[in-house]
Amino acid sequence: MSYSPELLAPAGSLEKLKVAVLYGANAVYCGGQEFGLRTAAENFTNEELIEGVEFAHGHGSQVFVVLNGFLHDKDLVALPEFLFFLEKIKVDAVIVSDIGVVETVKKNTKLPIHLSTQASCLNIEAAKLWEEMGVRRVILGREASIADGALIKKHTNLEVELFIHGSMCMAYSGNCVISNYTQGRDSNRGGCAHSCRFEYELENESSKKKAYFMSSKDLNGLEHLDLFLESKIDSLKIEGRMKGHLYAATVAKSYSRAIKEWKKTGSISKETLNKSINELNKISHRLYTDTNLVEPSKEDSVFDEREQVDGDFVTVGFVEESIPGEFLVIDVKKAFHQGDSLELIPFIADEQVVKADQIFSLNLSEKVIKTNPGSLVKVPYSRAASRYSLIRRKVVNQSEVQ
Amino acid sequence: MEFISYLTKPSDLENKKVNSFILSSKEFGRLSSLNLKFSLELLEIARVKRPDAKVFFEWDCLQTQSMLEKNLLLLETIDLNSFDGIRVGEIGAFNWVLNNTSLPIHLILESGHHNLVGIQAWESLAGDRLERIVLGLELPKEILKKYTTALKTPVEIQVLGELVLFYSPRSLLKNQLEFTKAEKKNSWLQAKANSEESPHRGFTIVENIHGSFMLNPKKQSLLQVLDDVKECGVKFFRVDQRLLGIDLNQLTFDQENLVENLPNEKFIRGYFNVNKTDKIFVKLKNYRLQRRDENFIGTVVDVKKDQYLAIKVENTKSNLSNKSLIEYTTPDGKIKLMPLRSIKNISLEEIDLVRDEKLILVPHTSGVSVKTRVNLAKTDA
Repeated sequence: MSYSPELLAPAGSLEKLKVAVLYGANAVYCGGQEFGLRTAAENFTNEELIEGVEFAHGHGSQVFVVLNGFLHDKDLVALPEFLFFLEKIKVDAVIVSDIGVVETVKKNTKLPIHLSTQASCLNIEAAKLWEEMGVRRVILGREASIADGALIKKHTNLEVELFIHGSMCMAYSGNCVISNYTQGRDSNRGGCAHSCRFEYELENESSKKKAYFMSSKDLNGLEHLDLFLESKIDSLKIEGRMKGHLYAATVAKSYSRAIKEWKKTGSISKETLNKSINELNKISHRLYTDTNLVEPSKEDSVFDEREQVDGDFVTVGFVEESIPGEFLVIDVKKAFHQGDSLELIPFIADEQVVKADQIFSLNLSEKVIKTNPGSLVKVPYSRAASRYSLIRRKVVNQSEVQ
Repeated sequence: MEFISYLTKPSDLENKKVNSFILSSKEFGRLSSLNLKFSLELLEIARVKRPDAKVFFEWDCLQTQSMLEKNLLLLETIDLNSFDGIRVGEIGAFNWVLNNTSLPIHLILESGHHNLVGIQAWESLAGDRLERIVLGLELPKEILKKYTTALKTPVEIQVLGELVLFYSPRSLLKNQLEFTKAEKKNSWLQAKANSEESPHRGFTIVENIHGSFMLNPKKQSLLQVLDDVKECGVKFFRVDQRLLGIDLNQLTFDQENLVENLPNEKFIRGYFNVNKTDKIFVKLKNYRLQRRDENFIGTVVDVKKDQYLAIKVENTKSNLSNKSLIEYTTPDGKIKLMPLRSIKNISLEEIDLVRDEKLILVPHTSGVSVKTRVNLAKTDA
């Protein structure tokens, strides 16, 4: 069977699902109101899941729903009803970290099961056992390398998914309960307080210092993308359901562009790679690392700082409506002014500079000088824009970075 | 009530209350500082000094493929049959032991096993080979009781030891502080950490060949409630004295004795009585903002006072018309009923019925803000 790599992007909300799909994700993962690891997040209601699946399928993408909390007995009582719903709306797979959930899914549905990274599947022996237990795909722990992924593929009939981009847990996933004991919130059911990102005063008999010693740099596997693809890793996963629209669009587009080129030509040109690297550097992130993808983590994979590397751009909004020849409606996320130079990010083509010369209220009764976040405005039509295209502008001062 | 503890030196064998021992070497055990050669010597000593006692091999480190391969090579140098059983805490190790040995298995399910269906699935897979299940410290007593009743396999929990909060494969201490050559040579670095988040101070951090671990400042002890633990149906009581700085042969397994031996330590029961760590989640969401029912139309996305409300139409089958009665639910929960008199599409044309419009403008209603949920009022449905 021919190899067709999947770019799997996070969908923290229905809007972000649409953004990720339109900017090149072949599949997205999202959570319902319960059973996932981002319990406190916006997540999807059932109605939004229906719309999200229809939208994704309509654009040739798949939808995977996360059920990756370590669920309690009472959750398993309520789970089958949700599973029936997911099967009915033709969700493509569920992401599960708990053997009890695996059993419940198998008993009640025929939904394909992807084993979550939370289960820390790291070697062939573990993968074989999970295969025996009925999972179709393993999302390997972030400690596994691309070579480990290739070996697991070779020795099993499993699909293999590896993280290629995004924030990283410093702990083996599923093996951190700091929040449980310090905040009274179960980190493996959505209550993670990100204690690993805090500063600690470290002390032993001979020395003392303050450090962010448990915080990881962000994963960026773009420069190893060819190795992922040559190793026929089935799915390349982007982390970040809690992140914003600009992140979803930029990361999906950057990787998608390079994957498309590899599929077409069998390689990724330096020009394409550099273009994508530049784009990824423009969004807010902790310093990047390629840790574990080729070699095990070293000390330099620690991000010993509080602040992220600021992005060069902020999202000012996205196109909510496009009436050809007439106007665009912009859903404003960050204020911009009349006369500002903005950048439109098309789904495939290169970014385009557009000038916000004229801005109007929706009923055209007022000219707008400064837009307000949370409002909608009309601007002149631009051919490069489509519904859900993102618009960004250069950062004016660093306090406004997302 | 059977105590099991770690065998770290010959004198540990003198504690006659302990009838079974865990031999954990630093190659295979997450928090062991013993080298493999010495631990095998301890096994021989145990067989002579305590022929009545059982000794179990521990393999609980998490391992990538290359680490597993190294460990399998090392295992070829060990006669595993000289042990009374093997304790596994990683699924790959579990599978290897199932397929390549005939040893009784103690399956460590301390992380992430919070439902009976899952635990029974592993129990069923292991079959007769499974001699013991080790359950986690986040399970309160009611749950423990339920599980021990339902499981065919005897259950063990820790009744004294550290609360391990965090297990990372990365080296987190070596580059941060100064350590002696001996510490580095032994691959055992240790420090205290105080979080910037008061009052969380005094975490022990350990770095060894498996990575780095964070331990809770307060230690775990159920010694005062051993009868309760027994009543839960737990058969085996594990005492992990290794990092507490106490000799096993000085322990009599009662709290008073423990406090005498460790006067500066604080002890907690963890979640043995109750675990409410998932109660907070329902409070973190604004359920009023969620679309839930068949009368849902969409969300208010823009407001221009005395002029219009812009509604993003999210339900394309809403049949909203300019004669509909609308129910607005604001983010703070106020409900307003309003008959519609006019609907305009985004090109500002009057329309009677919403068909495929994505944005519509309707007359302004005071008190309605952005993010207000818009439903057809039920009387209109």
